[in-house]
Amino acid sequence: MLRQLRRREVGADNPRSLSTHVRGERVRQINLSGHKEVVSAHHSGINSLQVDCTEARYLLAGAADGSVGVYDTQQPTFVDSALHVAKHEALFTVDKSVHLGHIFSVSSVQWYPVDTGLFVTGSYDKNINLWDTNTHQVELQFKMPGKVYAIAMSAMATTHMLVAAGTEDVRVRLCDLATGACTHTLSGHRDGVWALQWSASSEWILYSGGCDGAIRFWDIRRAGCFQVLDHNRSQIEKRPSVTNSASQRQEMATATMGSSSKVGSQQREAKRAKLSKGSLALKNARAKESAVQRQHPGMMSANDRSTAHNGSVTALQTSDDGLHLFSAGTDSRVRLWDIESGCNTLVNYEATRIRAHQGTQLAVSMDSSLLFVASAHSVQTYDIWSGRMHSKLVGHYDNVNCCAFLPEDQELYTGSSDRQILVWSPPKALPIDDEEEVEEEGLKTGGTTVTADEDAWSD
Amino acid sequence: MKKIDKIISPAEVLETETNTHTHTQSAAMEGGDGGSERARRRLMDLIEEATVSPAKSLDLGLLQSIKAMVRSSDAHVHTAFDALFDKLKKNHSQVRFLAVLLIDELFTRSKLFRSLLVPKFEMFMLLTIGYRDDYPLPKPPDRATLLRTTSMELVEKWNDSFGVHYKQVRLGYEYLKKTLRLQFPNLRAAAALAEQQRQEKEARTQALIRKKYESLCQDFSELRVEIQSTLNEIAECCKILEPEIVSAPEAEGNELVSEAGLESLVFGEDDDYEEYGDSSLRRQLHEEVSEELSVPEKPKETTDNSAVFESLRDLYKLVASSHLRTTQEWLSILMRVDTSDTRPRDALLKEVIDLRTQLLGSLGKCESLGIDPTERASTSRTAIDEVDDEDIIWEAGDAETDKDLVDTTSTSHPINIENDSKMSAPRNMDPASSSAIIPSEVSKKKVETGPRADLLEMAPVLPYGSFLDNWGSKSDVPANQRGLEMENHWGRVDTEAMIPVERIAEMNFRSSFYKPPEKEITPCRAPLKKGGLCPRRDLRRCPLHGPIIPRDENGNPLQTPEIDVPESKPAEKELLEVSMGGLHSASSSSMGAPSSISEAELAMQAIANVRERDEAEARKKRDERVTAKRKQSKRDREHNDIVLRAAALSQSHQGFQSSFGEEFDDNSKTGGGKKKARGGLTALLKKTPTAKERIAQRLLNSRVRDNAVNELARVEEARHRDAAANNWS
Repeated sequence: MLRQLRRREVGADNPRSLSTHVRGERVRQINLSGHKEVVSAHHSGINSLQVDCTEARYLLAGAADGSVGVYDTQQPTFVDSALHVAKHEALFTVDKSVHLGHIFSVSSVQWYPVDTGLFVTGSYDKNINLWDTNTHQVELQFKMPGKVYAIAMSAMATTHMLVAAGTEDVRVRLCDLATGACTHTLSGHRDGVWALQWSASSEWILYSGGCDGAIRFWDIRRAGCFQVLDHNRSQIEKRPSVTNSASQRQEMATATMGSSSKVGSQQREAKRAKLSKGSLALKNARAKESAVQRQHPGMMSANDRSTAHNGSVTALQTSDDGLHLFSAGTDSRVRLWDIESGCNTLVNYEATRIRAHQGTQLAVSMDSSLLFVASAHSVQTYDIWSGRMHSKLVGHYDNVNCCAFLPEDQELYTGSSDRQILVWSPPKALPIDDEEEVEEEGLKTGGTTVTADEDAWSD
Repeated sequence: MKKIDKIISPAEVLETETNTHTHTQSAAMEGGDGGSERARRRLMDLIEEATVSPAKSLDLGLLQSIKAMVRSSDAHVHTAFDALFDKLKKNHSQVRFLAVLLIDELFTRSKLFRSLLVPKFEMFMLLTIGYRDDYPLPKPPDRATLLRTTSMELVEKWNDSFGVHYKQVRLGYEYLKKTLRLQFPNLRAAAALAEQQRQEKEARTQALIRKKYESLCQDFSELRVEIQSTLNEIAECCKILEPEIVSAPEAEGNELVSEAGLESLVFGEDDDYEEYGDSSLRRQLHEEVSEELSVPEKPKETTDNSAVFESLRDLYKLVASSHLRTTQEWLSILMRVDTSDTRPRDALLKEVIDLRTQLLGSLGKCESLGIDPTERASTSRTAIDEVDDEDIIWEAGDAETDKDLVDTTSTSHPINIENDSKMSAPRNMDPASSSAIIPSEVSKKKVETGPRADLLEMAPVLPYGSFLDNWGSKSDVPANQRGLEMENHWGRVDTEAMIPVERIAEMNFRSSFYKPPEKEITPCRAPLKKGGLCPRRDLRRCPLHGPIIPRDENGNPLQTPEIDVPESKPAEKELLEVSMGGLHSASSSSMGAPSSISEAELAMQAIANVRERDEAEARKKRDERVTAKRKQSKRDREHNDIVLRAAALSQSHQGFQSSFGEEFDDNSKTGGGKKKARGGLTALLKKTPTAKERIAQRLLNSRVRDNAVNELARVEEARHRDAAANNWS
C-alpha cells in the first residue's frame, strides 16, 4: 500500500490504478456491516432497491406491502450508542394511504436518472406511478394490462424519457414521461417479461428477458428485436465458408501482385475480369448475407425460438463498460454474454441457487471485478471472469430479492423477503484505543449486561 | 460433578473423568498426531454419550469433561462444533435438545466456538426452532416443544449478551421476533420488571416501617410504663401466691425469677441443692426433680385466692395476647428499619429486648404457678368445675392442641372435641387417610381404649353445623336467649319461657343420607407414544390399552399380563357367587356350626373342586374323542382297503384276462393265493399310479402345504402380536 502510494507520488503508476486497486481490495473484503444499519420501514419483504444515479446517495426501496421508502445512505438518522451502530431510517415512505398509491406489492423501483426529484415505481396492481420526491404525491400514472414486473429507464438517455415496462403481458411497453402516454409496444416475447435493462452504451438499445427464457435486444428506432440470445451459441457463427475465403485470399494475392508489379495490360484485363468475377461472387455473397441480416430476425423461426435460459430470465445487468451482459435465470444459472456478438461466453458461475418467483436484481462492482448474485438466503459474490465464487454473504433469513451496489463507498445493499435491508461494507478501520473507549462508554451508558466477546471459561 | 446420573454410574463418571484428564494431558504433552487423534475421538465419544441420554438436562460429569477437553485446544473446539452440529441434524428432538444445551455451554464460553456457530446461525435456528414449515422439528412432540422453547430462550439470551458483537445473532433474533412474530419469553424484560416491582414494594414497606418507627419513638415511654405496670401487678400476684407454696427465702428471690424464667425458677426453688455436684449433673437432677415436684407443688386454687388467680389469669392473658405481640412487632420494626442515625434505634432496641425478656420471664412464672397456657384463650365464664372433668380426660392431647391453637373452639367447648373425635373415630378405620390429615387424632386414639373406643366406633359421622353449639347439653334453653325486651302485637310475650330438652332434641333431629364410599378409579397408565402415560380412567378395561393392570411409574406392567385371566375371571366370579350362595344356604341350614374356615377359603376350595371335576370330565371326553377317532380311522382304512382291493382286482382282472384268461380268476378265488396276490397287487398299484392320480396327489399336497404355511404364519403372527402388545417405541 505504502509502496503504491510512493509510486503514485513519483508518477510511476497510472493515477487511476491505485484507486482501482484500493477499491478492488475493499470490495473483496465486503461483509456484513458492523457500523451501519438500515432500519427497514416496511412490513414485508423488499422487492427492489436502487441507488440514485446523480449523487449515489439515496436508496430507493420497494416492498411487497406496496410501500416505497427512501433512505439516506450517507447521513445516519441516529447512532445507537450501545451498539455503536449508525442507524439509517427512512427519510419518507409512501404507501397505499397516499392518493393513487400502490395497493399491491411494488415489484420494481427506478429513480429518474437526471435528478432525484422523481422516481418511478411499478407494482402488481398493474400501475406504473411517477412520484414527486418532494411532495410524496403521484404525478403520473400509467395503466398496464397486467402486473408490472420490471421497469427501466436509460441512465444515459438525452433525447427520450421513456420508461420500459415489463408486465404479465407479452409485449414490452415504452411509456413516455413527457407525454404521459405509451409510445411503443415491443412484441416478441412469448410470456411475461421479468427483466429489463437499457444499454449502457446506446440510449436506443433495450434488453429484455422474459419468462419464456429468451433475452431479446431491441433497437427502439426500429421495429422488432434485432437479437435473440441463444445459450448454445458460444462463438461467431458466420465464419466465411472455405471457398469464399480461398477466393478472397486469391484476390488479395492478385491485388498485391497487381500493385507491386507492372504486368501486361491484357494480363491485367484478364485478371481484372477474373477479379471482377470474383468480386461479384463476393458481392453476391455479401448481399445475401446482408439480406439475411436485414431480414427481421423475428421471422427466422429457428433464431427466434432460441433461449438464453432454461426457465425464466429473472435479472439482467450490463457491465460498466456496456460490453457485457449478465443474466440470471430460474434454472439457477448466471450467464455472461458478449453484447456485440450476442454470444454466450460460457463462464460458469458455480453453485448459484436462484429461487425467484419474480424479477430480481444483480449487481456488479464498479470496476467489473465482482458480481453479486442473490442466491436463496445468501448473496454470493463471484469473480466475473473466472466465475469462481469469492465469498458468500450470509445474514438474511429469507430469500434475497434484490441488491444494489454503491460504488463510491463500496457498499452493497440487499433486500430480502425477511423485510430487512442489510448493508454490506468493507470492515471499518478504527483506531484501537478509540474503539475500546467507545466500548466502555457503551457498556456504561447502555447499563445492560453486554459481555465482552472473549473466552469466558469459568471452570 | 458429584451428581449421579441414572444411566451412568458414579464410578463410570469418575473413570471417564480421569481418563479424559489423562488424555488431555497426554495430548498436550505429546502434541503428536496419534495423541491428538485419540483425544479427538475421545471428545467425539463424550459428546455422543452426552447427547443420548433421555434426561432433560446434561450429565454434569460429562459436561465437565467435555468442557475441560474443549478448553484445552482450538482443534477440539472445531471437533466439538462439528460433532454437535451433526447431532443437531439428527432426526430426534431429544438428541437435538441435549446438543443445544451443550452448544449453549460452549457458546457462552468459547469465542472460537461462537465464531464457528454464527455463520451457520440460520441453520442452527432452523434445526432447533423449526420456524419453517418445510423443516419441522422431529419426533417426539413433547421434546420438540421443549427444544423449541429452550432454544428460543437461548437465542434471546445470546442476543442479549453477544448481539453486539455478532450481528447475525441479532438479525436472527429480530427476524424471529419482528418478521415471524414468534413469542419470545422475554426473560430480560420480565426480570427487570420483577426487580422494579420488588424495589417499589421494598420502598413502600420501608416507608411504612419508618412511619411506624417514628410513632414508636414517640409513644414508647407511655407504652413502657403500661407494660411495666402490668409486670409489676404480675409480680405482686405471684408474691401473694408464692408464700403458700414455698418458704420465705424463695419468695424473696422472686424478683430475680421474674426475669429469668422457668429454668432459673427451678434453681431458685431448690436452693438447697446448690452446695454440691458439678453443674451439669445438678441441672439434670434439678430437671428431674422439678418435674416430680412442680406438679404437687402447684398452689391449689381455693376460694381464698381465687380472686388473685383470676386477676393473674387476666394479666397473663393480657401479656400473652397483647404485650408480647406488641414487643414482637417493635422488634421487627426496629430490626428492619434503616435510619440514618442508628444510635437512638439501638438504644430503643435494647430496651425493647429487655422488656421482652421480662415479659417472657413473668409468663414463665405464671405458668409455673399453674396458669396453663391452654387457658390463654379460655374465657372467664368457663366455670372451674366444668373444666376439671374434661381436662383430666384431655390432658394427653393438650400438647397437640396447644400447637393448633387456632382451633379455639376445641378448647372452649370441650364437648365438641369429644364430638369431633367421635366423628373422627369411624374415619380412623382407614388409617392412611386419617393419619395423613389429623396426626393428633391418632395419638388420641391410642389413648382411648375400653368401652369408649367401642362407642366411638359405632358413632355416626356428622357434618359440621351450628347444632353442635349445644351438643349434648341436658338443660332447657331459654326461648329468649338474648334477654331483650320484646313487644309483640299478638299479645304478651313470656320472656321467661323455656324450651324443654325434648323439644330441642326434636328440633335438632337430623336426617342423613347414605353416600356410597367414593372409590378412586385408577388411571390406565399405559405408556403413550408421544410420551407420558394414559390418563384414561376406566373401571376394568381401557378401550385403547386393554385391561387395567398395575404398572410402575414408566407404565410398564408389573407382571406379565396373562391372556386367559380376564376370560376366566367372570366364570370364577360366578362360581364364587354360586358357591357363596351355596355356603350361605349351608350356613343358614346349619347355623349352630362354628365356621372356623372363612367363607372365601371355602369358596376357593369349592372352585378348585369344581375345576378338578371339570378337568376330569374334559379329559374323559378327550379320551373318548380320541378313541372314537381311532375307531373311525380304522373303519376308514378297512373300507379303503376293501375298495382298493376291489379296484385292483377288477383292473388286474381285466389286464390279466387277456394273457391268462380264466386261470387267474380261478387263482384269485382260491383262499391260499388270495393273500399272496393281494400283497403283490398293492405293491404293483403303489408303483404305478395313473397320471390323473399323480396330478391329484400333487394338487392335494400343494394344498396341504399351503394350508400348513398359512397356519404357521397365522400362529406366528398371533404370537408376535402377543409379544409385541406392550412393546412401546
